[in-house]
Amino acid sequence: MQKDLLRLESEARQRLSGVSSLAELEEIRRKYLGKKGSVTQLLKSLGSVAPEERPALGQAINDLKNRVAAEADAVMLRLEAEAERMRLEAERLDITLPGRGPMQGRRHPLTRIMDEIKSIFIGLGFQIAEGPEVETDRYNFEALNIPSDHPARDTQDSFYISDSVLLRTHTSPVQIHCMEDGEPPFRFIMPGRTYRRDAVTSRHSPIFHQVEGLVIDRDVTFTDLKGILTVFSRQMFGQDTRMRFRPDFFPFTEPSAEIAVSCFVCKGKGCRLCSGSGWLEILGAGMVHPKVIANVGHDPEKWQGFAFGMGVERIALLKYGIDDIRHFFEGDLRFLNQF
Amino acid sequence: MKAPLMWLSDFVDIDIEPAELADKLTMAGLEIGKVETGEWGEVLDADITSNRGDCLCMLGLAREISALLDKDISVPLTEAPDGEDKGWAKVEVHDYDLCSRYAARVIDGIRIEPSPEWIQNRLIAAGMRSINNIVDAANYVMLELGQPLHSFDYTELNGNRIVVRRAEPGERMVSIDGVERELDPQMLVIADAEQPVAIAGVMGGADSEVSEHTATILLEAAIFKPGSVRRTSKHLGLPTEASYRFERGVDPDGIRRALDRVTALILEMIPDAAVRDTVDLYPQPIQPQSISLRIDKVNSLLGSDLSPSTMSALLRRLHFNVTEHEEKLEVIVPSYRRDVSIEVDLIEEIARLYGYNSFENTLPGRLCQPGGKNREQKYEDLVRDILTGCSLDETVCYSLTDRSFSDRLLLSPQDDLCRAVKIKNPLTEDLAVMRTTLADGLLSVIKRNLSVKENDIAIFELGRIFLARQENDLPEEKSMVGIAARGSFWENRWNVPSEAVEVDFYQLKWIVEKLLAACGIEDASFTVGAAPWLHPGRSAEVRIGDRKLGYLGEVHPRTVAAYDISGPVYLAELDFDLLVAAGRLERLYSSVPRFPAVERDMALLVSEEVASAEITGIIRETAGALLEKVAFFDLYHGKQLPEGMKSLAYSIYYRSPERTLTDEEVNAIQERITLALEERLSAQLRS
Ligand SMILES: [Zn+2]
Repeated sequence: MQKDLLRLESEARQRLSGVSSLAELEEIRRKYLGKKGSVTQLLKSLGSVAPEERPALGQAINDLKNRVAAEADAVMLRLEAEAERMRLEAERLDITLPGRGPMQGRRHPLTRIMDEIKSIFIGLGFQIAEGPEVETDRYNFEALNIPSDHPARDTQDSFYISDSVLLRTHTSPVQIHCMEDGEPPFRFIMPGRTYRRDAVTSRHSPIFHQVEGLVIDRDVTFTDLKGILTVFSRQMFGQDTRMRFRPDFFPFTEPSAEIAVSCFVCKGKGCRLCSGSGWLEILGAGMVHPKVIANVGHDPEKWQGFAFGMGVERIALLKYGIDDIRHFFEGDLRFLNQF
Repeated sequence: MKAPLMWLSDFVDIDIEPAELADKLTMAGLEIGKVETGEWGEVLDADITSNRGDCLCMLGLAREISALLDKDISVPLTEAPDGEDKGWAKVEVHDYDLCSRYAARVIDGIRIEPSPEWIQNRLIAAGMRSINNIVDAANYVMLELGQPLHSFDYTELNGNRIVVRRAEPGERMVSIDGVERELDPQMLVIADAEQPVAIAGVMGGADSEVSEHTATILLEAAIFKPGSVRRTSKHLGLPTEASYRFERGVDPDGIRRALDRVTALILEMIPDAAVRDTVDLYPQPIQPQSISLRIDKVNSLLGSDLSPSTMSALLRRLHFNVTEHEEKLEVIVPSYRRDVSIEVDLIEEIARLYGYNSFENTLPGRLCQPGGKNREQKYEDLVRDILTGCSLDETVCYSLTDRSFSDRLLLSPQDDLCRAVKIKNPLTEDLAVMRTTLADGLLSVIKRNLSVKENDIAIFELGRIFLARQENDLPEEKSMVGIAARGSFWENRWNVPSEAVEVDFYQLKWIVEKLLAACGIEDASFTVGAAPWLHPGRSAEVRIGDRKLGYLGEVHPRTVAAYDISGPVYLAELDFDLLVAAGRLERLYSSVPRFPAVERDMALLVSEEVASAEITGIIRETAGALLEKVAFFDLYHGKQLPEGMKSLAYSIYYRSPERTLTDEEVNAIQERITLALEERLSAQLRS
């Protein structure tokens, strides 16, 4: 009997090891462990065994049954894992096909530059002021110490609506509004759209954007002007930016300065971007002219400060290496999608 | 202005390299664009700012150079006789307000010839043409000393006299360039006994021009009012070397020097020539200007710590006459420095010569306010965030357009948007009026992109529109948000059915709804009818209460055709200012639900005319407090439905904050809704 058991177990193990499908496994399970299976038959035949041998033999058969069942379970896990692997394999995708979904919209490059400028100045305690794009001659010129028949108007050829109303040629009139409407101290930047009667070319646009700044307090100095604009330029163009301040003329500031930063492409050695000079002129600035402070009803003996202005298009052209100012206004997606 | 170094060297000893000199001048505010090397040595190309009229000549530049190099300036004295024949030069000045000084000198024995080579060479090096000895002498002195001069043919002057007066109405004169000029009484002219012979400070007349037959000349050296010369030159469209200098101010004390210098040159070229007579009318000579300069004012404005002696040394180098007092300097300004009239002008001179880059950098000590954005500016950021998140690219369009935009947009002449602000002096007809809507610019961008085969276009602009008011009033400026789209928002759409990704009315509406939700606006309503350039059946007006926020919809086929684009194209435009006024960015938490919602779907058969909003309105009204939301999920037209009917399907969610709802109570509400819909809209429940 013991021999029969050993033979049966080795036969069952041998067959289980060769199983390749769940159906085959069930078949073997039935053949050995089913109601009519060989092991079950052995248990049934215990009756014909001598009573004193029965417990031991019964135990042996039960052990055999458990071992075969365990083996069958192990085979089943193996088969299921294999089946899952096959199924997932069949679901394989071509992961090199492109992703699919709605596009991400983009801010305009001029907005990006404006945002950058704004956030730097906000960090320096500036608020943002805005004003009308259509102005009177008084706000655009007279209050800024640019009387009619002054040659300074040559560079600011204007679009007129009537004899005394025009499209602002700079954002400086916002300075006048801010100073008229409030009491010093002031610390504002004034971004906005401006207009000059210049023909459309790759370098000039009759419509463009400026950001001006104004700081008025009791003891704001020329060295403060230099400091603020140095901090700004280094944030905007890199911490290794060098500054060059030189005298210039604006009717509404005195002393006036034209400010260049070291070229961020060639670091001052000279390249195409900076026309070989190593410098990029980006800012005009100066101490607010006492006449301007008086024009808006404040006492220039008590209040002093500085103003500055920059062209947003110019900075964007430089920073992004764009060769034609018209790109900004044409809305060509092949251009906009690069930002 | 072109300044040959050899000419400058007449006045100052230049012992540094031309490139270094150019850099020094540039850093002192006299920008040297480039240094050219020509036949007669190096030539500086100076870009002189409009306040420095005194530097529009060799002497002026030489003075700056002498200050920069701390060297003496030598102005050779030239002497010339005044003539003994009184009565040859007859001059009357009627308008001293426009001509503060007028000097004239008559010289006869003139022979017109080419000028000597050295004069010709210098003129050419400075960028001028050589004409003849008399004209060249005048130009030479203008370039050298900055005083424009004019020579008349004395015998061509009626009555041999000069009258400086305003032009008579309708008076005309042919100028040297051969053009007949119409003059007006605001213009100052130089006339003879009968008629104008020159436009003061601008150009001489052809009749009295020096010609090859000229034997006697009347030389003019005068000071004309800058603003008046500028106005005349602008009105006539006639900018000249003379007007350029008069506009920027000419040294009134330099008249005699210039007259003597040109006389000496003429006498040197034509030894037989003789001065007959000279007059110099200068009834109110300008007095030397004296300015007090407070030491502490200089340092408090510049943030510097300069000593009084440094300040006076710098000013003296610039040829100011300085007397030192305890706390101030008394400074006498040279007559040619017309740009220096108040204290701060002197402070600039000190800073300029000291060198801007020699001052340190500091930061303003007192922080007067926190930096930041105001409410509008925060909403601008929000709008840009939401719309770029909705796949729209930002554009910036010109705020000027052509007059026929109103035709393209099918506006009737009475339409408010025809109140376009007109530019009096447009650059081109394309930029002749200010925009009254963002639609025009956005449609033009679509056209441009279609022309380069970019067919999926989804864009927005945040910008101002302008509506005209009365003639001299400022126009109304409003900020608007414009949206335009055609094609698809999708980047890659392989295997996605195109109806799922092609822009339609409802995708556009979704964007508008997103924007409203982000602004915290919950009470906007959409009503039928909008702008003339939209499809009347596929457009809506957006309202907040009784105020119009804007519109959205498909563009009218005729407008689509007018822009020469292909549709369908979708547009929306919202009043940004109202969005800001009605918006609410603050958020309040309400507790997350603890009990489950019960969801019931309801498909309804209704007549085509019934609007979905009517159905949802009745559902909301009838359902009561347990209703959480109504979500539309299906629209069906089709053969299985009776003619003129459509099917709409909704998911209705019920929830109580206190307990789990039972089927019975939800069923009871559903029944009430069904009944109400049937009664009021004849809606039938579809199974
Ligand atoms: Zn460079």
